[in-house]
Amino acid sequence: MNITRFIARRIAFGSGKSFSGFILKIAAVAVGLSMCVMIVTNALVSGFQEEVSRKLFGFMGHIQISSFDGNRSFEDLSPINIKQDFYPSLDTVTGISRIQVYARKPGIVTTDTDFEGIVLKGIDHNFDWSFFEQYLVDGRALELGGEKKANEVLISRTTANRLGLKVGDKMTIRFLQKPPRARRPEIVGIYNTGLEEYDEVYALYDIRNIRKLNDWEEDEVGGFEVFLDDVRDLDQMSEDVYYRYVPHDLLSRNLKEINPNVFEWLALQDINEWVILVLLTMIAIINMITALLILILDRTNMIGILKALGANNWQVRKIFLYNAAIIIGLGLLLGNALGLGLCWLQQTFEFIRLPEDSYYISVAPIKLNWITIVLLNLATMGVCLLALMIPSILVTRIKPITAIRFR
Amino acid sequence: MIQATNIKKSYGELAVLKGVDVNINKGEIVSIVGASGAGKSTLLHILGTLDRSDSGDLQIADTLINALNDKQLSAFRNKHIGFVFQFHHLLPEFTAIENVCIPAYINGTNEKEAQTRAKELLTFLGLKDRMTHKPNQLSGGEQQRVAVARALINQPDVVLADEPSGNLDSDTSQELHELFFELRKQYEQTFVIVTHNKELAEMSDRQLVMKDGLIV
Repeated sequence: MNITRFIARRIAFGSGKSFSGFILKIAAVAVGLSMCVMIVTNALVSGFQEEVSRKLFGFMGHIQISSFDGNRSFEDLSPINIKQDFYPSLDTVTGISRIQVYARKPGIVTTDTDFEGIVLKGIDHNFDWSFFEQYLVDGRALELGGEKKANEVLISRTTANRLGLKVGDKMTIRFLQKPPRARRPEIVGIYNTGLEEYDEVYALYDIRNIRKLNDWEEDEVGGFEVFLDDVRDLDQMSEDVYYRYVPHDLLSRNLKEINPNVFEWLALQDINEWVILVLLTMIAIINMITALLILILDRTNMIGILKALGANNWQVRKIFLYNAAIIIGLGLLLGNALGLGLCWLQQTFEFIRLPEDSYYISVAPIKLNWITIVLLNLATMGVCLLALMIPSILVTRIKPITAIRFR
Repeated sequence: MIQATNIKKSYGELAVLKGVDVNINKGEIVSIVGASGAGKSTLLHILGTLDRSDSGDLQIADTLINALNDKQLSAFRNKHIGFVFQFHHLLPEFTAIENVCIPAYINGTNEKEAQTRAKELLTFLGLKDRMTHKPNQLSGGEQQRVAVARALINQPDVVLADEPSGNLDSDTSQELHELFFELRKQYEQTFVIVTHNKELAEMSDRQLVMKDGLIV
């Protein structure tokens, strides 16, 4: 018979004295609230990181292959030939889902009253529209399958708003080159990804127009975008692509190398999360220490009796640690229910909203990592119990004779 | 069974026991009597290993108590000594039979074995129908008998009782006292009883009279 479990279960919520029972319930609720906030924090931070990076990768691809010219501007100056060993077979490599071409060219959009610099991103008929279609707010995608160059452009809502343009309008784009050239494509669609830094710059255009403007050959492109199946493979896959598939005269870089700031900013969220988790764990521990001391003091008489009956200190301490574990366990149950419930509410009703221009997303996204949640629970339980080992020493100070002399 | 020689105990300046010698034989019922403050309870606590003496030797069932560390002492107390206190000191959340089983569980006895023995004892003590009652559902005499069963569950070498009938009316006291003798007859149980109760003291095999920290 396990004496620890036998006794601990029976006395879990105090001796029926309403006051100590009340405090123990508060302790359980405090543990629960800590757990709830931990789950929500983790879900929000991971959701945020995932959603923002998903957008970034969706916009630009995970890896870009371009010429080795050291150009870091928005203009692809050195065209590369589309006939490469890796194109289009690279998408058959495990872990790579897609490869597509692009060519960028900056231009100035002018209206009667205004002008705005943008970058036209030329794409071809193989372009995967699944990302942009999610963020299409008006009109349609470009139709690039025709024999002729499509005189269509897809612009962002930011650009449209700044210049007062709408779907169906013609848009004059001027290119600073010798001799200066201009194009007047029709706006067929407006997108809004919320990635403000990209939205305010990019418009999608037929790559054949870019070739023509740049006097490139029919088989020349600015570069290739490579998409991966799983972003977690990013570092490994970028190395693979660079060393195994891309010839020496071409450069391949992943998006983290191209745009380190955003990813560092995303990584910074991890530190926020850790600070919150540590603080909340400490709150849970302090609450549980209070609860344990109350349990012990409430049970001085019982401790004395058990010792008189021959229970050793460790056996008695175990009863209280077990008891604390019951309280923590109930708290965790409550916390998980509450935390997951809140996450579900947010996922369903999206009541926490973010300013999109600062955070790239308009709704705080939720991502539940089940393994992390299980680990959070186990760690909270483990750390609390470890911390409670110290105050449980109080049990050894209670002498049977003082406890049993009076009732 | 118990040999205590020259037991001394002081609390600060106050010498409570000033060199007590006690010898208890197996199957004996010995009462310790004396005025309040004579040191009876202190002596009983020391004999019961609940407290350590400042000096002197204590041997119970061929074990030198002074040589045991706290953990060994707990285990020793569990196996070899049973207690009955003035207040029953049963745990209120547990039924009579569960209370009786607790010392056996502490000892690691399995549930079935402990319960069989507890039932046997409770039946012997006339509590067959009260086993699943909690302490607050029992009368004072019944509570004290459950406490006696608890003291006996591990078949201790000696039962130490501190004013066991101090809280009972005279009829119930009488019953409890008779029970001790019944148990001695049945199980050859040794008892050391601190008491103010004259009848009980006179019924016992021997009376140790304490005065000012000494046995006179």
